Amino acid sequence: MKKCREFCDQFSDYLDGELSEADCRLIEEHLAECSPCALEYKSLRTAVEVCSQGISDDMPEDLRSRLKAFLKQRCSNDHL
Amino acid sequence: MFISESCWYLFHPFICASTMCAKTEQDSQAIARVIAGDFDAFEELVERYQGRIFRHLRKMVGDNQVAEDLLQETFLAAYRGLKGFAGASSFSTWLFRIATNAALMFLRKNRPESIEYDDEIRTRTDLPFFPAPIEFCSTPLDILLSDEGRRKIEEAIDDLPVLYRSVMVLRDVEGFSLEEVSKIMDSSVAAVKSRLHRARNSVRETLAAYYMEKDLASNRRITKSK
Repeated sequence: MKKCREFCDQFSDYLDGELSEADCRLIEEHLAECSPCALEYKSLRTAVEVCSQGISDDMPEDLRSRLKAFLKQRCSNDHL
Repeated sequence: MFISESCWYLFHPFICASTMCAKTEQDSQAIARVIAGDFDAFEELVERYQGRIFRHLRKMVGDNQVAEDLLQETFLAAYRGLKGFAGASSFSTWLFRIATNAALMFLRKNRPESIEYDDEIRTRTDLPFFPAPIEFCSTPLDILLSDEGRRKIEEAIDDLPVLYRSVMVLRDVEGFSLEEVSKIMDSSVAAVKSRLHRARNSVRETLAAYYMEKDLASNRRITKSK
């Protein structure tokens, strides 16, 4: 019988779909009956979800212009 | 691999299969045009990836000016190496690998301690099990993703050692598969999984502690005002 800590150690792999069907089933059965682990899993999933949406890839316009000018100048003499 | 109900990643903007195929096709066409001498096609590739590469570099080196220098270096190296790009991996994986190598070279030269002490990360999962605080999970998404929430997310990720931070950004922010992350970082998939597990738990703990403290402070204010 697995302990709560052992289930929690698999949550990251579970989120990534890296576990076997049997292991997924064991986790899902455990989560249905163990509220501390369900909370642990939910908090990990929430953390990953907000990280995936929370960091912008916006780039300042002046940085775009500088990169464009740099590449135009440096690549113009290069022939692939 | 079994696709469990946990695989919300399938809906990640960069992971959706049809979007990925369309992007790969667009990249292949642009690469062929660049090799044929069309510089505008290279600018298309730059336009498509500059924001993501800059974000990755910014997270790796933690300095906007250095990240800008490395961004220029990355695209210049990509342009020069494009003819040798064999297509064994996707263009995005190849490009992120160039950027990662540039950042690691910078760090090795200028901040070698940041790489050497990479394994100094402890999370609550190293301790006996006790339940996570509830306040973080019960906070609505619009608050978690508010300006203040986003700052906390950035700080929580920035607190991680560089290799953990990079793995988490590549997987959870950029949406690369574990295999792709392992290629970009030149690590084994097992090492990537282990770092990802610890990085995610560390970020979760930082955010959970912040929202628990915020909730306590709010309750104290309410009690005082009564």
